[in-house]
Formats: sequence, C-alpha cells, structure tokens
Amino acid sequence: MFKIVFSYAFRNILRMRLRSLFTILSIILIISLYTVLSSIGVSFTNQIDSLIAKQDVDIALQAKFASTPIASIIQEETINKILKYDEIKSTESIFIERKQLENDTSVFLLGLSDFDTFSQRFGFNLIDGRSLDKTKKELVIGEKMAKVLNLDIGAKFQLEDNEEYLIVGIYSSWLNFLNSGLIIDIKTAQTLVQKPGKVNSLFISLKDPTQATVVIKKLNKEFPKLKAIRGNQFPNSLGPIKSVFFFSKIISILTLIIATAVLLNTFIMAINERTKEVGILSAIGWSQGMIISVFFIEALLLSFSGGLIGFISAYPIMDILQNNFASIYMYLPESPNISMLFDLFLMCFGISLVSILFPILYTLKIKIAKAIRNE
Amino acid sequence: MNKLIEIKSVSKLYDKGLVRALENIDLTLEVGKSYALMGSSGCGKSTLLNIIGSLDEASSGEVYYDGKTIKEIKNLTLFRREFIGFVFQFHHLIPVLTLRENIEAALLPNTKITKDERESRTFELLEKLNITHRSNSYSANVSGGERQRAAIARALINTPKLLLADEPTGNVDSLTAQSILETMFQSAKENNTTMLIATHDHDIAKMADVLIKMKDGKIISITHA
Repeated sequence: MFKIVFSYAFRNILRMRLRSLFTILSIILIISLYTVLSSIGVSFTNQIDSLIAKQDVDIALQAKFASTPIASIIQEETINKILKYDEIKSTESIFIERKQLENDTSVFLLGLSDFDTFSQRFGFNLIDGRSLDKTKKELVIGEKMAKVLNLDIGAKFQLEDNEEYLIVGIYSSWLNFLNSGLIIDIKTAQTLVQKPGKVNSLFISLKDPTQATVVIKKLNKEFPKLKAIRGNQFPNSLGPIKSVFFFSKIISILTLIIATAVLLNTFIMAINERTKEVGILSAIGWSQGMIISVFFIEALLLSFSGGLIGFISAYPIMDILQNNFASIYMYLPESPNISMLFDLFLMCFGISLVSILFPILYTLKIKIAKAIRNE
Repeated sequence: MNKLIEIKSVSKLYDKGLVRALENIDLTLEVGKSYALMGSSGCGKSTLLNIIGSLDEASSGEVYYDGKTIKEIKNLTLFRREFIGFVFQFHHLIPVLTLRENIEAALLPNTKITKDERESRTFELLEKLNITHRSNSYSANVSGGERQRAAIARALINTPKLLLADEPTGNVDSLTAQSILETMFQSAKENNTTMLIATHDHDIAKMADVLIKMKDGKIISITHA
C-alpha cells in the first residue's frame, strides 16, 4: 500500500514541477539561514556555558538599573562598607570607561584588579605577549585596536600628555566591542578618567560559598541601588548576551513561521486544485487518514529535501563568514552544528504537518458529491 | 422480494429550499436487479444517485441499506468501500496514477487483502475489460473508452453489492458504449450486484430489468421488463 501512496505523492510533486521547485528553493533559503544563525547561537551559548563553568566567584555586584556593565557604577564608600563583611574572603573589580584620545578617537579602558584571574574567567585570551605588571606603565591591547591603529608588542602608546605606556600583550575577547579596548591596572584607569575609587562591577568570593544566598539577600537589602546575583549568573545578565539570545530566539520563531507560511501557501493551492481528487478518493473508500497521508508525504518530501539541501548549503555560507568575519565575531563557528540536523528534521516534520492539516481538514469537510463536481 | 435499498420520502433542497432537486422519492432496489434511471438533464438523476451512494445527504427522508439508515452505519468509509461501487460520467481517474494503480487504489484501504491478491484481482479485471495492454499507461494517454473501462474496473474491484453509474457511456462512441455496458451487466450478473444506471440512452434502458422515469425531481413511472 505504501508504495502506491508514496509514488502517488511523489508524482503529484512532479506534476506541479515549477511550484514544487520554488517551494523547495524557499525552504532551502529559510533553512540555510536558520542553520547559520542557530549555529552561531549554539556556538555562542557553548562559549557562555564554558564561561559560566569557569566562574568561581560567589557573588557579582552591579548597579541595579544599569542597562550595560559600563553604565553600572559602584562608589568607593560602598565598596569599603562591603569589604567589612565578615563572610567575605576576597574581592575583585572591573572598571570600564571610554577614554578620548588626542586624535579625536576613543578607546575602551578596562581597568582590572587582576589581569590573570579576569582573563581566565571572562574569556580575555592573551593571544600574544604577556600579562600586565602593575608596578610599571604597561598596557595589553585588544586585537581590533592593534589592527586598526597598527600597534604591536613593544610599541609605546600615549594615553595622556607626556605619559607613554608600553604595550606588552594583545588580547582577544568574545565580546566584540571589548576588542577595541585596552587593559590597564584598575587604579591607573580610574585616575586617567578622574573617577578614583569607582568600579563598574564587583566580584566577591566568600569564606563559605554555601552562605551566598544569605549574603546576596543582605547586600540587596543594605544597598537597594545595587543588584547582587550569583557569580555564575553574571555572564547571562550582561546586556549584549541577552540581546544575542533574544535575537536568536526571534530568528528561530520567525524562520519557523515563514517556512510554515511558504509550505501552507503551497498546500492551500495544491489541495484546493485537487478537491475533486479528494472527493474521488473518498468515494472509492479511502479513509481520511489515507488521504491526509498522501498530502503529508508530499509535504515531507518538499520540506525534507529543502531542509537537507538548506543544511548542506549552510556549510559554504559559514565558511565565507568564518573567513571574512571571524576576527570580528569570535563566536562564529567553522561549520553548522551537526546535532542540529535532528532538530531540523523535527522542524520539517512539524511544519509539514501544520501546513497540510488546515487545508486538508477543510477540504475533507466538503460533501463528496460537491467535491467531485469541483473543477 | 429481497430488498437491498429502500428509499422513503427522500427530498433534496438546494439554495435554502429555493431549488427542489428531489421531491418525496420512494423507491426500492432489489438484490441482483438492474435499474435504468431516465429523465431529462436536471431532473434529479445524479442527485438521487449521490444520495443513494452516500456522497450527499438528503434534506428529508431516509435511505435504508440492508435495513439500516446511513446514521446507523458505524464505519461509513468501510461501507462505501464494500457496499457501493461508483462509475462517474467523466471517469474521474487520478491523473498521476496508471490505469492499473487507479483500479488497485480502490482495494488499497482493505488491509485484509494481500498484495498478491490485490494484483491478481486487478489483472483479472484489466483482462475482463480488455485494457491489459494499457495497464501501465496514464489516463491522459489512453482513449475515452479505455478510461471509462478502467473506471468501471475500479468500481467493480471490491465486488460491491450496489453499482451506481451516472451516465457511464455519455462520453464514448456507440460501439464502445455497447461493449462497456455488456461488461457491466455481465459482471453485475456474475456477482449478483444490484445496478442503478442514470442514462439518456434508450438502448441501455432496454437492457435493464426495471426502467425508472424521472421528471422535475419526481419519479413519474416504474416499468418492469
């Protein structure tokens, strides 16, 4: 039975060659776009997961209503009060500020209390040179800054009048905008922008990590303008990460809707044109399930072939992206995530089912005699 | 009298009652007999056939199949498959299936029948209707007569108790029509199938056991041969 039903479905696709071709092409486009964007999302998520795994701070503290880490400011007196907490073992802080340079350009100043710990925790990879010596006037610059300003290790960089700093290393960060910055000792950074003692984020390690919840409650109560969260929640609380996740979800949902709309449009037309056929099949004793299965096989053939070619097409697209943009977007993967193939098949199955059910159930409600008269 | 179909006071209205296609039809079809339904175009022949064939619903009245109304039949799909065979005026074959597949398609839903049995029954009918040489051709590539033979084979393959034919020879030449009708009548006789044929053709009417004449949605005469 399956052989005839399958060949019937297959021949129907061939019968409407041009329409089938355009449907498959549309699905190829949609699925390749979905694959590329989702692979970037998956790669990004994996990087965030690895960052979270690296976190060994118990509490992260930021200004409550700051939209980005740069907009967050924690005053020196607040830090001093927090440092008096008995539960605290140690703290580290980060200070980010935009610094205007002489030649009308600006860079991000990243003042870190400890370069080695931060680079390990937040994915600042030292790709060349060495880390900072706090006692000397030294800088580690972002790879984009190095490229744009044509700077290299050993070069001197002037941040203030008559104040030259030696470039000792080049880093690369997964957050694109930070690659246009430079890392410097936190106290020097605060002095350079005349904000002594102020930091953007404070990271706290506790003597007893099991007390984290209690200390978070205590901090949030004592400092209502600040927001204390668990250290491993910090990367996900960052604005750009939230945006990427949000964007990724929106793209996935939009792709699903567009793919369903394309296939639904094809099947509304196909089933409408074949109302008479549906009537004949009902008249000769085909069950509704059998009739639905014919259209479902057609939809599966179209969506699966489009989906598979779309997935394969994502390889060259990602290769082009990787070759041209990988230096900017660190989280661009080299190829699509193969584990997505199963999700894609599930997606194709779902959109096929949704695309045929509405038009075929509508047609099956038509009286057989009326359906047969349909031309 | 062995009743197969009993129609009681069946009426069919269209356009919110403005058009009366059938009006108080009472008719009994006996097992194994052939009936010719005659009348001018628009007199309600096809409507009556559709209602008897469960392809349409009556506005009022009842049709009894072996004593059961349509509402009492639990599996309407199974009933349509096993009880009724339908031959339409315009063959209504599926264009993307070959003649053999079109005939076989009517047997597909019957899971009790094996593939071998399905194939042998299909070839038996192809042979009987003299279209074996066209078995792998699509309907677009064969003559009108061959298409109609395939449509008849599709209607007969389930050996239905009732064969309904709506002007089966309306689109073929007289020679082909004669041959098609002979095959239909012969098959019906062999299987004790009740046959109801809507037609304009007086020659067909002569071949039937009973002649039913319709006018304006009403039966005006029933003549036994």
